Amino acid sequence: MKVSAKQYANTLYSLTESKGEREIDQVIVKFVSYLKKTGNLKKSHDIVEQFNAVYNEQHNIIEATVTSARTLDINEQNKIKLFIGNHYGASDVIAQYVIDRKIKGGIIIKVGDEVLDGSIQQRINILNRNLKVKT
Amino acid sequence: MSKDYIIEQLKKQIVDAEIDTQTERVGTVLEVGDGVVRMDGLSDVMASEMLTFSNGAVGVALNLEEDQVGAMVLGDYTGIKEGEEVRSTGKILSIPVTEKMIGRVIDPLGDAIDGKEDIVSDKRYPIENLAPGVIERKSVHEPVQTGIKSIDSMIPIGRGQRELIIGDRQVGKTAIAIDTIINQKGQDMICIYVAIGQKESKVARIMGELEKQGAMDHTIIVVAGASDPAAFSFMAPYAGAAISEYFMDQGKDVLVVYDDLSKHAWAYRQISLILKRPPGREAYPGDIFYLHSRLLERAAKRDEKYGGGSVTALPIIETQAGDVSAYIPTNVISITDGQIYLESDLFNKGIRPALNVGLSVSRVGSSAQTKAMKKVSGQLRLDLAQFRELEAFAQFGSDLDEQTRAQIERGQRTIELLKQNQYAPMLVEEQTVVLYALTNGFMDDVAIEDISNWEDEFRKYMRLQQKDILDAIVDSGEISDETVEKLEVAIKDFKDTFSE
Repeated sequence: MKVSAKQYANTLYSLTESKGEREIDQVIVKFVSYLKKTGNLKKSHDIVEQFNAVYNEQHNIIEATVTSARTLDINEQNKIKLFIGNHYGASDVIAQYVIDRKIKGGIIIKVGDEVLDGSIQQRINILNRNLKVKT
Repeated sequence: MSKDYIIEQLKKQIVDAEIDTQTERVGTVLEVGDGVVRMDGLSDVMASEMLTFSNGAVGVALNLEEDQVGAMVLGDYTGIKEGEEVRSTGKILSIPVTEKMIGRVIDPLGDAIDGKEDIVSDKRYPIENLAPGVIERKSVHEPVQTGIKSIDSMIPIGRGQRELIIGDRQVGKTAIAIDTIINQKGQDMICIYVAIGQKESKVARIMGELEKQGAMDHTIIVVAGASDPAAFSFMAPYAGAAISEYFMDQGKDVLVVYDDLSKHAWAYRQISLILKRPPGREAYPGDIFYLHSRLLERAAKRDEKYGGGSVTALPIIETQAGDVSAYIPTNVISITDGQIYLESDLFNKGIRPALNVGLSVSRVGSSAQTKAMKKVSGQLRLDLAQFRELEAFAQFGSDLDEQTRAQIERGQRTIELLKQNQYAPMLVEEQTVVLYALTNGFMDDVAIEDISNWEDEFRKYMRLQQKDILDAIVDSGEISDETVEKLEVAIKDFKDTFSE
């Protein structure tokens, strides 16, 4: 049977759940040697990615990408984090900040495949479309 | 008008514009190839939901897998890059529909491609729609007049019927469909010609001919050209069906020609194989039967209680070397209510339309035929069947007994009379009187090479001097005994003048 990266990640999570550092080290060594034996080392990149997702999901952590036209100060960053936390009911938010001058202003928040686009560029696009339909 | 007023209005428009920020689902392009895109993300996407790419192209989600979405791109896919964002719209694929489409040439997305003004409409109809159910339907009972003698008499088509036109390349399949569209002038019928994977030159020629014959006033042409992406060819017949449903919902009668469904099947096969769906017989995917059956089921005659209206479908299938037992032809034959079978041998012999009367049938159309036509067509069919049996003996000539020779002579005249030129549709009452003259032996003493001349002169004579007989047939829909008497006298009178 073919085992997917997601299944490996789930297994790794349940093996390491609530264990001490030394135990984890042993588990990891065994896990990797199993991967080598079954010829699945090429999947390690995907497994790491999936493990990240599984861990975040279990610990109620959300990873978000925040795009803005200029650098945000600490105050604004905290406000945004608080908003994302409330909106998704997450206990912790890991935010990555990206600067993109092309969006002209406002911010875009991206969590997983959900996008909240509050940029000026998007508003211009919508206005453009609406005015086109009316004429 | 002052400058300030204009600025004020502009400001008002901008302020009033409803812009609310909403969360959207997006995906990332993983792979692009030959009109098909694979993406991840888009976790809430629906089957056949519209997606927008950043270059403005529209996609349709077809494959929803555990961690990937496969979509076909409607339009230019060359600008789509790996890693770019794809937005879902939350809307199932649909096209705008409006009366303004009549007389226009459009692509399967409803955009005008004839260089005239844009087609705008608030109303949209879904591309895929469930066909009317049993309760809504009524059996076929009104005729569609094709204006072609051999079809209207022996393979009658009713409103709401699905009649397949099948044959090899270059035997006049499209010609029959176009003649039928031309003949709908003034018959209160909206025609939709769907060109699927056809050469643009052929479409241009058809459009020119329809315009010349004044048939564009009731016709819409939907074009997915040979150079357009396969997704367009796949979508075109469904777009045609969506437009026809819009008119049927208003209680109107619609005739839709799908030219041709073999190319439609090819386009779907291409998309399916690139989407990595498992191939079946002749490499077609498993749902190729359903592809055509769900399309042709949308042709219906609706009960008056549900608004009336009808959609008549004339699908066309191109066979390879006369092989009607190939996969797609057998499928479509079993779906439709009969077929018009055209043969290249007959075509080369000069019998045009090259109709094989023995293999062509109409399973429901006879209940839509007028009584007058029924009266003459029974004998016509019998004459032809007897002739086919005796045809082989025709070369023995004088050795045959009187009756056999008479049957052969009659058969040869019947075949000659059923020949008809392209773009020359004939009114049903004229067809009736001409066929009456033939089946009742009034043409037995006319030389075979004179038949078409005799027919033309006779029609002219009936139109100019015996209009009341034609009117009586139109009004009553049958040939009463009284009309028969008058008609026979008229035919005899005409024969006296013709032989002089």
